[in-house]
Amino acid sequence: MKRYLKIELKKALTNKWFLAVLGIAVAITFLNSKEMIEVLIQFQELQIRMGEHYHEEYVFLSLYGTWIGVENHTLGMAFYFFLFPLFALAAYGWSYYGERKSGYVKNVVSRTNKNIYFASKYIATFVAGGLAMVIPMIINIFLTCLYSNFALPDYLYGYVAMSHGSLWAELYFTHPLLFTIGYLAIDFVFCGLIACISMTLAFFIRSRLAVLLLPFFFLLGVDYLKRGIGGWLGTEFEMSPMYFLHPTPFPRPVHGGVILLWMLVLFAITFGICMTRGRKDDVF
Amino acid sequence: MFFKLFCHDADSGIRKRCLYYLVLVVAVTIFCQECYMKVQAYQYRGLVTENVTWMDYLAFLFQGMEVYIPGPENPFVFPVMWVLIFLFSAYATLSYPFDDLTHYGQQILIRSGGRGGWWLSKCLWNLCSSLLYFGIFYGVTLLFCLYREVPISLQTTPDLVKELIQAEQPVAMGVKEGICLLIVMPVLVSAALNLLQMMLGLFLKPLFSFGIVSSILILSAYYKEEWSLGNHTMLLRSRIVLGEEGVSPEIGVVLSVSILLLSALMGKLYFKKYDILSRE
Repeated sequence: MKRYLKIELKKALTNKWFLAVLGIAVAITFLNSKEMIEVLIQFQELQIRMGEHYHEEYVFLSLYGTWIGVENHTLGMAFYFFLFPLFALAAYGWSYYGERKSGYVKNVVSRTNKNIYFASKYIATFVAGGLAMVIPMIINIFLTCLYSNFALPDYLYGYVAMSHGSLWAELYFTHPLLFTIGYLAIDFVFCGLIACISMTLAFFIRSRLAVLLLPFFFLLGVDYLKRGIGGWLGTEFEMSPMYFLHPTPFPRPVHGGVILLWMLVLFAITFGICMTRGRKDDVF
Repeated sequence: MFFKLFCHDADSGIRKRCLYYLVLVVAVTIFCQECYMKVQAYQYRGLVTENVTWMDYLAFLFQGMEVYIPGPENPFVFPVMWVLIFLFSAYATLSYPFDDLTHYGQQILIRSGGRGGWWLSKCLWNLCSSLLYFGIFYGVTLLFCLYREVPISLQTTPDLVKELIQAEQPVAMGVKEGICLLIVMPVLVSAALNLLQMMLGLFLKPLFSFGIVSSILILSAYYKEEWSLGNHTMLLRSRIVLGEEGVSPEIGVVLSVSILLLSALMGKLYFKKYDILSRE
């Protein structure tokens, strides 16, 4: 298992699709940084014009208010948090479909066993999908460090976009670094699971593009229906992954239970199908 | 020969892919139901007294989003219904040309004696698919209105449309304006985006060309600019709602037709030297 998992992970993290997706996502985070620098320069100029003393300790310049996961109004953020399912899916979500079609699965399964192959493939798809989302965000944090400070976010300050009662809102104002790491972990797990939807669909669908794009349309569909779904569940919390994966969620606050429920359902469905269908299906 | 090529594309690319259109029917019915429920609520609350028309439904479906003014107090929330309408159209025309090229189409390409005809046939197929997509779209809204006993009229109800799209003023539009914005422009813009996507698919992988079309839609939602193609299909960004500040439909038509022609031409030129074997 260990040896094959290592091979799978190497394939997942060094293939050209993963690198291309990473390149595009990182470029978007650079765009976000460029926009934020422009906003901050405008703010500085305004302060100087108004005769106020400018000092770099302003909460407005805090990392925890300016990186892509916290600010909510730049074009870079709009691109990133719309396209992220595609990043996760394109990173390695196509792999099982491709290997099944090319006959590679037969070669592996005849040399090892099906459980090892499917478990390793699932983990590699999960890791690649999660990293495709999280690595660009981490790079964006480092980029933001170049022009921001580490001031604690202040809830009295209007520019902080944290909804009242949202998941870990208190932590955001007291230990923002922990909040950031925690949310990156949520994004990693969730995007890993999104990537695994592709692997699951490959058991049923014979079109590569459908395998890659149907999960994206599913998430858009959920986003459209979210008010209805929230109504049925009797909650006003954000139900759509297109929004609750943004660390300072909008337009509605996020409940940890909603995210956990999503994760459990996605994991149960994707892992369950991949392992049971994988064991049962004849690869020859 | 061209007619035979097109018949093959119509058969393989439209008739055998009817599942896409079935999904479209379901989606449009859900959108219309949302509009119906909103109208019922407005009428119940006494906000509107006039009868709703088919054109009001179209105004709701193509409302898009209001002009976005970036700022920390105004988070960007993309118009999901509008995005779904145009993105699903792009998806419906995404895979067939490249599937055909790597399978049966190679035999056709050799026997047709030229690559130009193959590409132009795909362009025509793409246009027809966009027309069919919106034909079904309007057909379903029409049937929904007939089912709900909504008058089929090209007139809109200004006060109701104001409430439906959350505009500041009652939205009064003439029949010609309405047809142009709510019927002609969506078809034209969607056809332009789909053909652009097909052309870009030659240079990039289809998934990346789909990503570019998605980005164009998000860019259109973010910026209210004439060059940003999607704006020309949003009622909330049109001159009908914004007056002189709105985007001009004439520029939208010129832009869409230019993209259509350029995509077809560039694709034809590139496809002549395109290595089809490497696609496999």
